[in-house]
Amino acid sequence: MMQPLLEVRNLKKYFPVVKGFGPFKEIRWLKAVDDVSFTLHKGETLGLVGESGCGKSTTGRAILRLIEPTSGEVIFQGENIIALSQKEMRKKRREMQIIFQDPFASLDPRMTVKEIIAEPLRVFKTRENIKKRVEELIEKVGLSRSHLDRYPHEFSGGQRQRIGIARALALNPKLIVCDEPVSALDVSVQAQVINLLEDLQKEYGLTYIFIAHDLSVVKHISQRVAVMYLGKIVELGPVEQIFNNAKHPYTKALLSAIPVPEPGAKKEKIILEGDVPSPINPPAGCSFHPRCSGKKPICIEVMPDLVEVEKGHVVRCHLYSGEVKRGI
Amino acid sequence: MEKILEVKDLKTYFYSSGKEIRAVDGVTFSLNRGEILGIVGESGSGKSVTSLSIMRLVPSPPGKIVGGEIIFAGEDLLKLSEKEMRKIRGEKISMIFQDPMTSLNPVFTIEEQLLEVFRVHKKLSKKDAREKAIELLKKVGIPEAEKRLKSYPHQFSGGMRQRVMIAMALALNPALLIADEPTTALDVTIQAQILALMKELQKEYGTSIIMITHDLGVVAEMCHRVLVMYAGRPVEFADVKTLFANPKHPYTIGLLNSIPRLNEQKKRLTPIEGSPPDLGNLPRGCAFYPRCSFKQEVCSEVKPDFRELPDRKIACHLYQGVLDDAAAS
Ligand SMILES: Nc1ncnc2c1ncn2[C@@H]1O[C@H](COP(=O)(O)OP(=O)(O)OP(=O)(O)O)[C@@H](O)[C@H]1O
Ligand SMILES: Nc1ncnc2c1ncn2[C@@H]1O[C@H](COP(=O)(O)OP(=O)(O)O)[C@@H](O)[C@H]1O
Ligand code: SF4
Ligand SMILES: [Mg+2]
Ligand SMILES: [Mg+2]
Repeated sequence: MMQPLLEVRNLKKYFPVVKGFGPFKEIRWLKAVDDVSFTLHKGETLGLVGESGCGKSTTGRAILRLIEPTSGEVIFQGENIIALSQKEMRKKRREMQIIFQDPFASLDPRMTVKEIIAEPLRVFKTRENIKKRVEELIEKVGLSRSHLDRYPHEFSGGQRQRIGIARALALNPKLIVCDEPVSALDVSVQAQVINLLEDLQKEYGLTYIFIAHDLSVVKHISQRVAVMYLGKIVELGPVEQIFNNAKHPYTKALLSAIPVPEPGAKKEKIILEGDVPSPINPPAGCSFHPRCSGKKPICIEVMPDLVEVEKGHVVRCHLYSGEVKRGI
Repeated sequence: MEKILEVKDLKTYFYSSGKEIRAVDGVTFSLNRGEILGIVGESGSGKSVTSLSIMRLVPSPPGKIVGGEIIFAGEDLLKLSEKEMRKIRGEKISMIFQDPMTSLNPVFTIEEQLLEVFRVHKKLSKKDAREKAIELLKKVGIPEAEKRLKSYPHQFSGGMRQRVMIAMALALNPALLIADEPTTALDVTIQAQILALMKELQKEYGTSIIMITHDLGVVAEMCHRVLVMYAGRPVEFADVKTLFANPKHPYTIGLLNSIPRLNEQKKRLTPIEGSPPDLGNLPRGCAFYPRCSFKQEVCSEVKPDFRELPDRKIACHLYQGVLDDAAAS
């Protein structure tokens, strides 16, 4: 089998949370990302879904070392980039880019579009080459050269997201983490940006980690989907298996909760009780157990491992692991 | 069916730096008793300003309601004094916002805020008000309601704050509830809880609801009729089934075509090309003209009227008879 483009192994990111002060000071750990592993092949899109605060953005940022992981390995093209020095990492980051949700906040309002797109190029290219590349990029993302001398506030949300994409593409990256790239856009414009991302992927063989909370969008764009809950992957598999044959009770609830744009459609909803628990003090055992209607005694005590239920489809739930199946 | 609310040709404009922004420009719709009406449209299309106008809460300056009527239970709200309006707000019409923190006061406990509502409007004793408050919090599914009364808003999660907002909005059993993107900031699983709760309460109390959202799935699941807005104007108004099965306005058609569907084979999406309109710089004719794939010559010159067809109202030259007349002559 071909070497994967990216292999994430046991990635963890814990944030310290200080409670109290003086002699009562107590440091606890918020486990934003807690032992996440997956592989990604060239040209593939992995969708990353889950409730707010479950660790999706932190996972994406830790992979690019925009925040330093607490532990784990990130093997990019055969090389563990966690071991790289800051300087080496900066170079490596040419090949690993990120696009953010908020096209308003992520572009410097004082820079022209030309300057924004050219910025990452400056270190590597001559002036003449930069100009050519910027013009090529702006057209690639569906804007025109006449836009280059304008400022971000003169553009609509969708156009700003295109500018962000042009900038991310500047250095021919191989991997792009798309962190909710269409969430802030109007419905009528979301489809434009999704099509653009798909076209670019085809043209350049790009690999995406696509974070989104709109599951219809994730289904559309991804080949595989990972579902996170409180810092852990609870289910991962090919997109059809996740959407047609979900196993984890949380994935099932998540899918059933999507409102369908068909009036009168009969859809059985699994309404979860309660809120998402805090990642500072996650429940013992399976962290989903307080909201799970199918829980068994073991779920309250033991965190289940990921088990493979079909080829390439893994689930972290005791209902699919040996103990419960054997009736223990 | 009895109409509880009729909005006729509502116009709310904003004036800033010498410019006139027509945020709401001729909005017309009606709401029956016990009905859930959806309002959809791009951000900036005037959905929130429409609801603030009904509540008479448009910030002024810079905003001003410059025309139209808002007939609520037989009375034009635009003719009421501020004092009369205060009584209507809360007792007869209440509103929930996208971000509950904007309407919950961070320095008071939930108890203080809920009791205030009952004591001011219902003149209940403290003890009775407290009982009512607990009952309400239980109704909206706040666990351990008695204990939770002493909490401050920031101690609640987003979903719980939205429940408290709903509790407060329903405290006085209003005839009309305006919900402006009540679940947009919430996760889908929490959204499902809140929508189920709203439906249940709507059935129980027969409240009429205006549900503002940009999520077509939420509209399909919750609403009886839908008003589609574009650039401050109504473009299509129909029964939810009619609108989804047989949209007629090019914007509605484009919107429904552009969303990916869960039950479909993967295919390339069909977006609406171009950008949402800039209210400060609208075309002379139909505001959708620059993005419309059905546009005619007349569209660039003349604004289409919001006209009545047998099964809907629509503002588009394709349905104005103008083109037919032109063809005939
Ligand atoms: N710099 C930080 N310091 C402390 N805690 C943080 C920091 N960044 C994130 N967290 C916490 O880590 C957890 C995961 O956050 P993250 O932003 O990855 O969530 P997410 O899944 O992207 O959520 P959303 O859908 O809201 O974007 C949250 O509990 C968050 O509060
Ligand atoms: N306080 C205000 N001052 C100036 N303009 C405003 C104000 N509130 C809203 N607007 C403008 O009115 C238009 C409609 O806004 P709004 O009703 O909030 O849209 P939405 O449909 O997203 O709810 C927008 O162009 C907005 O910028
Ligand atoms: S009036 Fe003309 S431009 Fe406007 S929506 Fe109808 S066909 Fe399109
Ligand atoms: Mg995030
Ligand atoms: Mg709004």
